Amino acid sequence: MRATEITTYRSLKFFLDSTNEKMQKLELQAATGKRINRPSDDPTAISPVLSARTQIQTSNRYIETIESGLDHIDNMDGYLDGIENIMVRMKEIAIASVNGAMADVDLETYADEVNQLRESLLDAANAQVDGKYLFSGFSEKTEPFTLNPQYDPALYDVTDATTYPVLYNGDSGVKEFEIAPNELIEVNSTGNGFMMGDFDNDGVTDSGASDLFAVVTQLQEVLLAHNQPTTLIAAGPTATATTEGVLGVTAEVQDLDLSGESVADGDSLILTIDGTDYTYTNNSGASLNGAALAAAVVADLSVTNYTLVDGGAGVVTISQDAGNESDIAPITTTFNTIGPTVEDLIGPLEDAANQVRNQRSYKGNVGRRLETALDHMEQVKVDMEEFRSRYEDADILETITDLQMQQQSFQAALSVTGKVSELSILDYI
Amino acid sequence: MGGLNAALNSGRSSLQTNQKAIEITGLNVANVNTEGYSRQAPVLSPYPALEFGGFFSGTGVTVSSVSRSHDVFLAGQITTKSAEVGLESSMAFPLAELERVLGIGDGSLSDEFDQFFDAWRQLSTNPGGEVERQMVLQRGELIGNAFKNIYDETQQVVTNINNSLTSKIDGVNLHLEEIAQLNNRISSIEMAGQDANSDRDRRDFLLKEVSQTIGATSFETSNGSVSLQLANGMPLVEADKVTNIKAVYSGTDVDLVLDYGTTDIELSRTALGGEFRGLYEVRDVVIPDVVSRLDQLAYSFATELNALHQSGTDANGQYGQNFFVAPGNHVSQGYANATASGFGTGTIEVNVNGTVSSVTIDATNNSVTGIAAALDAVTGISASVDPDDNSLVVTPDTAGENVLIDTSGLSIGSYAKPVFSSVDMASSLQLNISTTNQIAAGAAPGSLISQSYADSSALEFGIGNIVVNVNGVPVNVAIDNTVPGAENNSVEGIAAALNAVAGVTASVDLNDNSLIVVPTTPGDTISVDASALVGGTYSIPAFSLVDLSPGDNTNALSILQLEQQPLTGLGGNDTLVSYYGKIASTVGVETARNRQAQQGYEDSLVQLQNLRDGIDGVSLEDEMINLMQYQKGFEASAKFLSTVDEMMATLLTLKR
Repeated sequence: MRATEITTYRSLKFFLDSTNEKMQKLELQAATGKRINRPSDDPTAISPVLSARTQIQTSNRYIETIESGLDHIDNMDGYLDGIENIMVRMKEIAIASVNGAMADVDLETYADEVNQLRESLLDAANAQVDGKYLFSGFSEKTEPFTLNPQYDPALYDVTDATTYPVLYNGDSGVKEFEIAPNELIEVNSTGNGFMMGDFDNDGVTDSGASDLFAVVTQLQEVLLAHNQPTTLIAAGPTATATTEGVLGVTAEVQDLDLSGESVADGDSLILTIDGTDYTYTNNSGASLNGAALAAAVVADLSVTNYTLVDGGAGVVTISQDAGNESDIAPITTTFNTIGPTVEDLIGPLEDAANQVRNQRSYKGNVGRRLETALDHMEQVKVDMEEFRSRYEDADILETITDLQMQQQSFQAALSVTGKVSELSILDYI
Repeated sequence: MGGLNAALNSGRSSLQTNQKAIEITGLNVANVNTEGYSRQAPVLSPYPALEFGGFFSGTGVTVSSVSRSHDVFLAGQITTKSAEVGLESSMAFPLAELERVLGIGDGSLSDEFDQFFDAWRQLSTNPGGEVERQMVLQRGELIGNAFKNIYDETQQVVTNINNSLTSKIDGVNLHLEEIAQLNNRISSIEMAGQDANSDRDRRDFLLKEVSQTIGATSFETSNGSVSLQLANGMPLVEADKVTNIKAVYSGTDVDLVLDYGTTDIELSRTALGGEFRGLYEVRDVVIPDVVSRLDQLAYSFATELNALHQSGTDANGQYGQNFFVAPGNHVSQGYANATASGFGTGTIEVNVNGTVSSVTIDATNNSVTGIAAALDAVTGISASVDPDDNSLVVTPDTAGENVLIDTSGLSIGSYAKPVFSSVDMASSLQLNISTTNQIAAGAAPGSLISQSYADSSALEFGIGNIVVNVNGVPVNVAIDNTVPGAENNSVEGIAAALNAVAGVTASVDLNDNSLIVVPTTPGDTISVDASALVGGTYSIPAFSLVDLSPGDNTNALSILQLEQQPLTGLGGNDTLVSYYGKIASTVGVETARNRQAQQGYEDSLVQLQNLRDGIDGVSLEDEMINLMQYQKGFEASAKFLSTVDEMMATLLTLKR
């Protein structure tokens, strides 16, 4: 092929252009440290790079979330530790005051201390961090525990939350943090559980669980009463009438056996018949028990449609006066029982302290899990960085070597161009 | 006559011929850098021999013609290749622009998605936090802006393409005119038996240019003129007749038409080649595809997020509103036949502002019209079939309501499952909520609060039934004052009665004696209707939603799921970010292909041009040697003439 001026220069120009472009690309890679600077540099790598970026970003956030969760757990543990210490001190007081040699005034001093401790307990349970209550579930702006203004020791009923000494105003919201994709961990504790023993969130203390405030309040009350059992209202047995309540047949309410019970002067006994309460109040001036009590109850109550009969041996029987249309409905009684003594409270105090300890160890496990998750997430982040880097980052050694190669070839091309223009037939003719 | 006079004549012709040859060489040297110039060479031929004294002798030399080195095959190759180079090179700039817009680095849309969900994740650790809420709100706004920026920039690319189209038209038309003039000249010159070498060079050059700009092809007719036509056979130049191309504007859109004076014939994308085709490809294929996929992305993002947001509760205790302004219409892809039973069967879930209905599609209604009728029956939306392309069109009956249509429950049929989108969604994605309180981070609202009362124990309410509805199950609660000692028509009484209902916890706010009813299980939906109470001096308790749980992050957690979840609207396999990655990689692949092709075509065009210039181009070396050759010829002729002259002188001295 003939080589003409125009072909020579065109080829040189084309070569210089393309070498220049390659160099520019390598220079960009070297300057940014990235192999992919625009989608077309490697379209297949876009998806892995974007997904790795998302994961790195989320990992960073997970790490922050976990750290904030750990702070949360640490904060809670501090307050739970305080609560546990209070309960331990309560138990010490209880054990100390069982001593019969204690003077009344000493017991009153103890009662005073218990009262102070109860205040501390309330403060700890209402702990706030950053203006938000720790133990109120989702209702973090609501003070979770408030004294019940309508609390009456005599009306305390474990099945009725409105009679508790301290009311729980929070909710059962379980605050979960996402610490890894789709992995949620419960970071809060709701006060109704470990403080009130309401772990099943039905609003009342579960059987077998403790209401710390109730136990402590009882301790204070019994100490104030110089360790004399006070009369407390407790849920009475449920009396069920025999099923066949046909007219004339006397239905005997076996369970309403009053032989073992006593009603102090001024106290009341409540009978519930067919949903209606009938209250007997002992105004006799003396404590009544057994058959005398049954007789007094029968004498006092005039019940429409029903007749109460003293069946002797403290058994009250009930019969229907008129009408034959219905069975005798179940009747329930609530009557005074004797409140606990300090001795009786030592066990519940220990149970209550254990309830708090359990909560602490549970949260300790959550904390451990958070720490494991933190290590894991940091590892994930490193892995993802590596993954992203493999796709996106330029191998600097390779880039620089390539760049030098291109520079050399560019120099060669330039010097050839120079040589070509030096060489001319015009110099020889 | 003969003898010396004839020799003089012969010498003269030789001088003239060599002079002419030098002129031609000079012309070649002058055009050494002229694009498309073909080397010319004198064709020398002796004058016919004449009989002198019984034998024939030559009478000199003449330049019979000037030949032009020309290879038809190479010229054709170059013209065709130019069209390809034109196509790819014209796409390069707009594609590079698009690629920049659909970046993958910091500040790209995928980055915005990451940041948006990061803000929600941050909010999930502190759902009541004002700063965190503000972040979510700002990130939501930024993601709307990011969509809009991408859309605006693609439209800027379209505008630029339109501008370059219109600016190129004048050049093309001038070229066409010139080709027609050259046709005329070449045929008339050649008809007279002359060579129209430079005109042909110029015309070849113009044909190459026109091929590069609009991909026109040409063939030469017997009289030396060329016919130029578009890829679809429309004639542009026929002998000396020209059909001009002109731009027709409709709004900001530009279309090209062939100007036939009274009528215009619209030029479709396929009728064009070269640069115009490349620009059309980007403008009418690549960009609309990118925009419609961005619309789809914005649409799925907005409708899915809205549906989740609506199921939560905001800081005012109300159900969440639409996070983004909901799309006004929902249009599926088009189908071939509106009445054919082409779809699979199953159910379509329709979520209208939080109310989910299930539409059953079976063998009786698995056509476009059938589905439209079934969707139309859903309360809150109207559905119809667009007669133009048999697509499904769904609009909410109340403007602004969010509609989320999930067709993933349909089995595979011969028709693809309808995928809904909304045109212009990418450009119009914007926040619907405006204050941080409206961010719904908590579970569905549940807590109810009544008005306050003067006394919590006064028996001042009317009597009757209060209906408590827990998760759709109604329970009657009797409020009565007829049994002495068992009256419960007080605030406390009602609270106790409501509290006895399973699933709700009721209490009295000791500060103002209002009633508070909270679902025992957060997230349960409860309502209390006390309107049936009769009598009493206290007004009937009216309950309104209240947010008592600012620490509830349940809905924030479920919104986070959207980040990692493949969405039905995005084909069922793609998350938001990976769908964006696909858009970016489509453009990336196209750009990389374009760059490769452009380089390849340019490379081969350079090769072809080198080949052509190697054969037809001017080589200075050749020309210099020719120059020397003709110079020597000229010198020899002059020597010859002076020799003849001397001979004449010798003859004239014979007689003194």
